[in-house]
Amino acid sequence: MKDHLQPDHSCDVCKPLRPANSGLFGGPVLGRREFFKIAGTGVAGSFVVPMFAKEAKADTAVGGEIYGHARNLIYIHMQGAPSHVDTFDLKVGSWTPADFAPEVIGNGFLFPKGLMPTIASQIQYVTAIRSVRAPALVHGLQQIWTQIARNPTSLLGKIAPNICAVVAREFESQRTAAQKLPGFISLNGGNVVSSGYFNARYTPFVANGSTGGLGNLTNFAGQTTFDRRFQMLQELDGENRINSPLGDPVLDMDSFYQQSKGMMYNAEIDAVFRLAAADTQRYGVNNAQTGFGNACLTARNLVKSNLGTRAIMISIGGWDNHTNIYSAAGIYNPARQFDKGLGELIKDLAATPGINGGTLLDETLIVWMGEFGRTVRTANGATTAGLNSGAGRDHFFQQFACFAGGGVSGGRAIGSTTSDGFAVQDPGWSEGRPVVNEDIAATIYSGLGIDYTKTLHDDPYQRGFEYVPFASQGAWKPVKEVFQRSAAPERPKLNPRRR
Amino acid sequence: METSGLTNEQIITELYLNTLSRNPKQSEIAKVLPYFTSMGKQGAIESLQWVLLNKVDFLFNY
Repeated sequence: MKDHLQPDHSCDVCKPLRPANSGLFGGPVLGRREFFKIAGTGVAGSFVVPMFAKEAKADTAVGGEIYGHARNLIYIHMQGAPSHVDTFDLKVGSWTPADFAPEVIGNGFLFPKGLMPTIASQIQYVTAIRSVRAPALVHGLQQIWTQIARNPTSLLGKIAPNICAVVAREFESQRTAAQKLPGFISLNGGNVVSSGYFNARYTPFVANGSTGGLGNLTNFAGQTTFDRRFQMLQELDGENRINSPLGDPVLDMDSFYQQSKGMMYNAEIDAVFRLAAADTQRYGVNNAQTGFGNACLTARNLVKSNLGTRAIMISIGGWDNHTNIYSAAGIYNPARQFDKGLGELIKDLAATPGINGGTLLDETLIVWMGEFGRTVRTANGATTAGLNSGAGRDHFFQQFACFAGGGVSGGRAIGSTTSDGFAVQDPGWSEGRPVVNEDIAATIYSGLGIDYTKTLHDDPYQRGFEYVPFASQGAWKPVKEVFQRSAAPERPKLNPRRR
Repeated sequence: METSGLTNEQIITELYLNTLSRNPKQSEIAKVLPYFTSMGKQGAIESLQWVLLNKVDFLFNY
């Protein structure tokens, strides 16, 4: 340890801590934290040196298929796991309430028109993949899996960014100086995966619009004073914040400061989050605003404003209907909110010109799914066919995933399940097997013009962060049928023994 | 502090010593002094204190 205490000794560990041949920040040469940091190198030196030696390696990719060029992603997370056989893979039986009003709409799309009339009216834009299987039936695990497209308990799973953060990072180079909003915004959030090991600028800005607008966009000292203060901070602290010798934590913090400053006293940004009362009622239920409705409305404003946000995650809970699924407090509650919020969002985007000639809906890929589906068979002690003893449905592997807008060929379903919705009958896509979360992620990336086979080599474990694990080896694929009406000529049937 | 009779340089030094436990560099004093003109004495003192509390030194080193 003696050598490290000499101010002018030459050492790879201490050198980065002492910029410009002085003590850190002009203070003592070896501060308390540095002392312990260096003292710890006796046992932990193997961590410290690679951290400072981290070098940037180029991305690798094998050239994944691109099926779309949407500019924006709206990813709706239906938390709690919606019943597939009551929504986008409807199975009609003695249990089905009359007011579901099942009807075949669009191009052979059996749909609960009474439960979700607004989405039904926009079904020409919507495609449901019905052959999706969930890998696990645990809310916490699976809610993360759907957001990071890999097993959350794997090594990279613990530091993996949200799919939305990857999209934000992919599109960051397209940002103009006037675009001040973060690339990734989370609305009505719950259990939202953040940016993982990425720079904090890709961390979701957690916000929700309201009729009162967004708080905290002003400073109590007033704009003039605050601007001068911020200027003084740049002048006195620039040396620590720009290309900081202290590395990622300081760079992350400075990203927050710069992003926040950019959003303050900005009339355009204020307008995005300040919702018109009439709009909140239209997106709400029974003319009353809902959290999900306001989130959809804010999402509409965000893509319309083109202020830098490219990936929006919206959460809506309430789908974990273990008991009394057909009561007002059961599936009706989330379904009504979902129907109005999403239905009005699709309607508005379809009626708004985009920046590339088409509509905003053409430029915006909307995806919605839960973490898994719900049971479909009559359980012991049940009094209603198809349900459990509490007149509800429990966690189950079969589920759906829906796509709309951005190049999606809508109005139909891809794949099918057995008559009771228990298992995949026809995968309905070129790979001829059930669709899993990794395929959904590949489909999202492909629809946004992003190479889903890309691997980044800047992760702290130096394992390589694959956008979709093993996709470069062809393990998972985009469901191209989402974007192409004429699917591959042959549609291989799933081998029943391996279902 | 505003009415203590200290010079602007002394005030800057006091704030640095109180917050960061070190003297300001000459270059730092030179950067702060103009704010005593543009923001007034009180405004500059309040702002410098805000800046010092938001400086990386304070947030990460102490």
